[in-house]
Amino acid sequence: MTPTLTPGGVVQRAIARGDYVRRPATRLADYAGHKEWFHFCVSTVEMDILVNFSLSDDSWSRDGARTEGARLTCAVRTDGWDGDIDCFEPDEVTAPSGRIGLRFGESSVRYENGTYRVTARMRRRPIDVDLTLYPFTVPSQVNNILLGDGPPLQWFLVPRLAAFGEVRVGDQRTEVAGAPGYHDHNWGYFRWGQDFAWVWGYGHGRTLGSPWTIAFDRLTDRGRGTDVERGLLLWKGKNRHRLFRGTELRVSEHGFLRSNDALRLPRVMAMIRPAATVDVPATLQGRAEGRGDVLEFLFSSRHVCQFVAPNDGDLGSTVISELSGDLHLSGRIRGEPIEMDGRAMFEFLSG
Amino acid sequence: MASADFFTFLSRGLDALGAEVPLAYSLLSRNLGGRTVRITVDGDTRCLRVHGGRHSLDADGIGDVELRTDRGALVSLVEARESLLSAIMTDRLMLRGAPNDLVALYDALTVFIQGAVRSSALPALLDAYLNGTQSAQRRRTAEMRSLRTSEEG
Repeated sequence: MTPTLTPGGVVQRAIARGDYVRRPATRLADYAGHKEWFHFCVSTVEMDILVNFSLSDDSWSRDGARTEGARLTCAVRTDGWDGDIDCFEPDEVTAPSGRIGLRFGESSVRYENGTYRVTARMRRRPIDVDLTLYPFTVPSQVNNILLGDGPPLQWFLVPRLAAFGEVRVGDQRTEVAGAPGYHDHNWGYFRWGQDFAWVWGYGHGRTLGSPWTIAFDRLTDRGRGTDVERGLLLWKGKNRHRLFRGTELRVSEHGFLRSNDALRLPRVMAMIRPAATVDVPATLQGRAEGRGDVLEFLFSSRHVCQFVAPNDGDLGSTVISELSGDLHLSGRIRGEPIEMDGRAMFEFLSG
Repeated sequence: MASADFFTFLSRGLDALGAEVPLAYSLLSRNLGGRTVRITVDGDTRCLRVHGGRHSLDADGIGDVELRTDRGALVSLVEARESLLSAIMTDRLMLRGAPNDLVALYDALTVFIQGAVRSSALPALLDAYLNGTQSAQRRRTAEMRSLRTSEEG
């Protein structure tokens, strides 16, 4: 049974007001490197689904005209991983600024009647994703994330949705019935290969009845030796409940994920950079304390797929590792105990 | 018009690399250092030279390093169904040359791929070669329509 939503509710209004396509027609002071993407994740023990619609300035364009590349990245884990990255010509793309909606060929994102409709029709792989995602939490927006010397990046996130629909991989059809999901939307200026790295993630309970949701981020230099920013945000039900930042939060990584079924996209990059998981941890542990409140999380990674992003200024690349796994959350906020086991996804960048 | 012939793909691919990612083309040329690469795919042989900002594929010649393979192995490698090492160890990809020359060839291959993922033309050229005369998109669409028609029937 799909959820009943109030279209004019606070969650839906916040999304309608904040999650629209930015995609500026002119660039800030002619600054290059604008990037914008809509990212959706769904994760259960049985499956992971990642769909990402991105628009990026083409940093290798030589003819002086500003060109923008549109890419659809889709990775699905059911029996194993499958996925691909499709590129689109300009006449195949509709992404009007100021509206919540994108169309890349036969694939699209729409926001209608308080829900997201995500359709992905991959061209070279037999993968189709059709999902309706019902948002359950008030979104959050993090502004002015500085990743270099240029203008900043913005991060709009809806950390908890319920996904309904289906996924087809070849002849296999998998129903999605209330699986927990996540959505975020980033826009701004940066260049892959600059001196930064990040870890971000989200987690929630295994069922819609569990009230707790977390979102985490850690921004560092590329060597991951110096922290620039750390944050852990907790939602209770639909509302933001507690934020920990900076020195209130300590994080540590342990071990390495031993995975035999890692997917690396684009596949051709595996010829020169075979999939390797030595850069991603087996566990990520966090403890946040402040004003009498304590919140701890333990993420145990189980599955990984990796995307290799070509650097914008050189011939190197940046590996984006998407991990799914189990989450344990515990603590006490304003005297209320918290204890939860659930699912989480975390993203790690490495050079 | 894209082609299912490997050497047509290679020649047009290098043209695209030079036009769209000149940094990669220049580095590829530098890595090969004037060497001649004798390439045989599905029994058809050409000698590749990249030098002075130009490339050629000649029917005759002696290679400083030799590579021999077939379309099936190339499809497997590009789709990551097997690694370069496993293809070499199972003789699906045969290499011959002095160690320094083989390293130069590998470095050139690395740069070619790094350039290809930054090119707007190369993916379509590669797609057309790997999938023969029918474009991948048309075949994919046909397969899915056939699947849905059989389910609806």
